[in-house]
Order: sequence, then C-alpha cells, then structure tokens
Amino acid sequence: MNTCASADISEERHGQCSISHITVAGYAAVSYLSSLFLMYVAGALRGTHAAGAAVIPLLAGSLFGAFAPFIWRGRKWALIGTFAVSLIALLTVLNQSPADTWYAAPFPVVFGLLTALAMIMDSPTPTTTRNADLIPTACAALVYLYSFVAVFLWPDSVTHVRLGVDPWGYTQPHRAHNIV
Amino acid sequence: MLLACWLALAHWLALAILVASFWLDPWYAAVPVLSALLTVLFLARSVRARAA
Repeated sequence: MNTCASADISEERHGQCSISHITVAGYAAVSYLSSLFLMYVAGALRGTHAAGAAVIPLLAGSLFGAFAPFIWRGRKWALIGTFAVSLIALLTVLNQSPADTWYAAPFPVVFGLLTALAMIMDSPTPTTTRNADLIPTACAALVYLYSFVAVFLWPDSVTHVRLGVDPWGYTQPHRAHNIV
Repeated sequence: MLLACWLALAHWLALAILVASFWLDPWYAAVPVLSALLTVLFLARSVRARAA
C-alpha cells in the first residue's frame, strides 16, 4: 500500500506497517472465507427440518461478505462491525438454541482478536486506489457476488445432479442410500 | 479477468449440461452471462483503444 511504500519512513515503522497490513488483509480473508462457509451452512440448512435457522448464517454470512472489501481497505468501522455482527449472531444462537452455541462461538473470538490486533497496531487507513474503470470493477463485483451464490446453491446443485443424470453413480442400487 | 470469466462460465456450463433446468435458471445463468458480456466489452474496448 502507498502508506507502507513511502521512502521516508523508518525501517521500524515500515516493519510495523507491514505487520498491520498483513493483519488487516488476513482479517479480510478470514471474513470472506467465514462468509462463504456460513453461506454454505445456510444453503445446507435450507433443505432440512431446521430451515428457519438458516436465516442466522445467511444474514451473518452476507454481512461478513459485505464488510470484507472494506476491511481490506482498512476501514475501522468494518473491523468493529464484523466483530459486532459475529457477537450478535452468537447471542442469537445462545438465545434460540443454546446447544449449538459452540458452532457460533469461534467467530467472535477470532474476529475479536483480529480487531484488537488491528486496533493495537493502529493500522493506517490506506488511501484507496479506486479503479475508475467501470467494466473491470463491475466484473470483479459480479465474480465476488457469484462466489456466494455458488456456495449457497452448492447443496441444492449436488442434490439436483444426483437425482438427475447421475454422473457419479449415486443412484446405483448399492449406493442408493447416498441420495439426499 | 479472463480466468474469472472462464471459471464462472465453466461452473454454469458443467452444471447445466448435467441438469437442463439450470440453463435458464437465473441463479446459475445471470452472473456467468453478465461476466462474459462485460469481458467481451472490455476486450473490444481495449482492442479499439490500441488500434486508435
């Protein structure tokens, strides 16, 4: 980033800056991967008796995915917002289904640690190098959004494919019990 | 950009070849088609800019 690449900063400051940016980039990556995982969970829950519970991972996953690009740009409100959303999701699960608390607990722990790390290192808000070209930006946004759709529809797609043309032999008699 | 477009198209084509209803399902078709259109537009614009 530009703030790290300045020639007049000391080596010590440069090292600190790099670590803080690695923390922020790592935070963004964890947020995005968590979002994909939660979308997949929501898609899997959708077809079960607990379909109503899919709302929680769907909302939390959507918000993590929405915040991830802003975390990548070093926005502090996004760092705190992601942690707050994970905390709210944990409290909701704790309230609605205490037995499943452990599934939601890792998110606020990880995001809390990463938020604290980023705050302690006082990661600078980088000057965003906005790409003025509309087409690549739109394409990047589409591909980013499509990753969530693909993951959300994954369980549904597999079910359709298994019940459809059976490309992997799931409907053969000795494996028929594998059909979802 | 090309690789991302190819991956989006490959995902849709692979599924739609197996399950015909996915060809026109907007959840599967919209983004790959839009991505392909934007990539073609971008390439055409680049070629035109280079030629000018």
